Amino acid sequence: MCTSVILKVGARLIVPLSLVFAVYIYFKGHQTPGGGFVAGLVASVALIVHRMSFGSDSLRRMLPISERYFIAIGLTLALGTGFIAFVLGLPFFTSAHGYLHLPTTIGASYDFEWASVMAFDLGVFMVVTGVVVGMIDVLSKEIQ
Amino acid sequence: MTQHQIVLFVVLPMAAGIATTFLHRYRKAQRWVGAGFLIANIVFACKALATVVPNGDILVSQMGNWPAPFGITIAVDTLSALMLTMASIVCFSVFLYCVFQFDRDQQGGFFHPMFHLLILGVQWSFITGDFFNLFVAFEIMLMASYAIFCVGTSRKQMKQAYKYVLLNLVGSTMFVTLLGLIYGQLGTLNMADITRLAMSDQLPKSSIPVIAMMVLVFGGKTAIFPLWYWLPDTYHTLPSAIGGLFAGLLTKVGAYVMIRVFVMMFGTSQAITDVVAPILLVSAGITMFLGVLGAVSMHTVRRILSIHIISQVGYMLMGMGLAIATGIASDIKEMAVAGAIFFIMHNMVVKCCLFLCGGLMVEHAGDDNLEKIGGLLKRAPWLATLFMIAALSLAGLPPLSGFFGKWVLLSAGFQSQHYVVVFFAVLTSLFTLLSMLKIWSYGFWSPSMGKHVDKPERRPTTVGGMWGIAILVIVALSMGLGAQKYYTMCSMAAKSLIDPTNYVKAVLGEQNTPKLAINDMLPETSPKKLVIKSDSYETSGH
Repeated sequence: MCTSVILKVGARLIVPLSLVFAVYIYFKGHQTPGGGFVAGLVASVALIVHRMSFGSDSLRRMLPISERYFIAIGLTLALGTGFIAFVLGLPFFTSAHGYLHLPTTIGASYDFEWASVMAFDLGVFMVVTGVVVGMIDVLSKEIQ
Repeated sequence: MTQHQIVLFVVLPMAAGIATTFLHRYRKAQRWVGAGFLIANIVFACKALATVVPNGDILVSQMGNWPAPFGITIAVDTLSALMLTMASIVCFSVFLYCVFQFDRDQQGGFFHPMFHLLILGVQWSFITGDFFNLFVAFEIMLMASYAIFCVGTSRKQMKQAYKYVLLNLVGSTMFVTLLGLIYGQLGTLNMADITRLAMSDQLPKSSIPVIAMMVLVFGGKTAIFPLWYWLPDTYHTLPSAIGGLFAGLLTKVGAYVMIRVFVMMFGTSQAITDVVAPILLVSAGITMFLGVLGAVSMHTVRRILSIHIISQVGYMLMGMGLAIATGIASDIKEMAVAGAIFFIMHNMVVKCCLFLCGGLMVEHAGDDNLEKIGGLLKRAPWLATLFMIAALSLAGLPPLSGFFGKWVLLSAGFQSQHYVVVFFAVLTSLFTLLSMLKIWSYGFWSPSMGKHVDKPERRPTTVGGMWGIAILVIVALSMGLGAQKYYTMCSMAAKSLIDPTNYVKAVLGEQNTPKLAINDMLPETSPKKLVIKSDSYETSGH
């Protein structure tokens, strides 16, 4: 594995920034462009940059569980969200939503619109991250 | 079964897939969980059938509670319920076979999750009421099948898998492109909504070629005449159980979708049936005849069975073609569709069963080349019995299921005076019997060939696999001996496909359903007027 110092130093800046950006896109995505899928892609780019610069062992240590479980947990979340509506006797995936009044520093409160779809989106986020990281991991092992 | 519960046909296999992914290190738990989910699947499918059949009801659920043409609809009508029941039984038998006959390597890793996800794709295509969603379901099914293709990898298998993947990628690309074009021209992808447009004759002329091109997409999946070249090369390289699963489900999903699309959605539109019906009928004759000729010329069990899939697809096509051909009375059309549905159900079960039998023949004899094996009748008398029943029912001998399917199709052909197709169908039937007898006489009947592979050192354990086969044979026998019951259900399904008013009504609601010219009634007294009257009454009262 040949990595340059520039990449390592850069990665320290890029990885946390893109992870935060992924979270931002995830929350933004309900009514505006964004959402779990794109956020998952951004997050996996961050993880892959980390892998490129510090090696796959370091990535393993960073992730709490194997990325395959990411996929399974994400799918469970997505399916579970739909299933709650189903248990309540509504059509599958019926979404609940409401507003959360968040205080801001400039005085006026900010209304954040939440929806139960966000849990589904979190599932999508995890599946996408798991799939992309897992696939690139397997493919680059083949190449080495 | 209430209407929102139909989503369980998607949720259950998906949950099974997830659970078996979590359990991928614990093989035993994986099997038990899988078996549990598959049995639940059969129970729910039977429940859905019992709910739908008595009155021809249609269970509809709108995903996320979005109203019909905008959201995604899933719907179970009689046709879907029949397909679900048969498919779930086939899945369970193949599962039994895989669990007991596959060795550790073949079942290792992620075989079980992929198996359940394949079922997810299949069942989803049976219940979806949305065209784009159908594409998604197809993709899931194909993705899982690509992965399963690599089970017990051999070099030959990988080479053919490559071909399979490539062909299906082309098919999918075409499918999604056509969906885009259809959406552009009709403004909707909801099946009921498109049916509504077709019924009220609102399809633009430019959409006709696009819809006709759909024949290519589904024809490729179903393996009809000019597009079947991929099938005989790929299926015979697979382990028999997987071959059985693919043969029993994948091509039949294609046939189901063709019925749904060309008979129900566009069957009422003269402009489209004029183009599609001749294609289907001509292709039906050629498909069945060439397919069976191929089967007769082959010398290995799996190859014979693989090519046979194609020839059987021809009969289904014949039913569909007759159902939408012009100048045929509607009761004959109904008969043709019912025959095609019956035939699909029969074929799912019997074809899969024969593949499993072929697998056990390999277990016993060590090979499935008919010139090298023999004497299996003495070695495995039960296997021979079950194979005989399945083979004769595929060939269509009287008390068995194949006979009734063919009988209905042939008499529909006779009554509508399409003698050429009928002639080919009868001829094909004879050759089918010939090719089945070939397997029988070389594999089972002929004396053992001594020095060859027919004497492996150990006696293989085949009890589990035999159970899988036995279940399928019992279902096939019930279809033959209780043909009247099955046929009544099929003709009910056919009735609601030929006149899809009820389907449209169930999905889109009363006010959006176009009235066919026959049903045109006098304008009702509008409820609005009554309201105004009562209002005026009230105001005057005050």
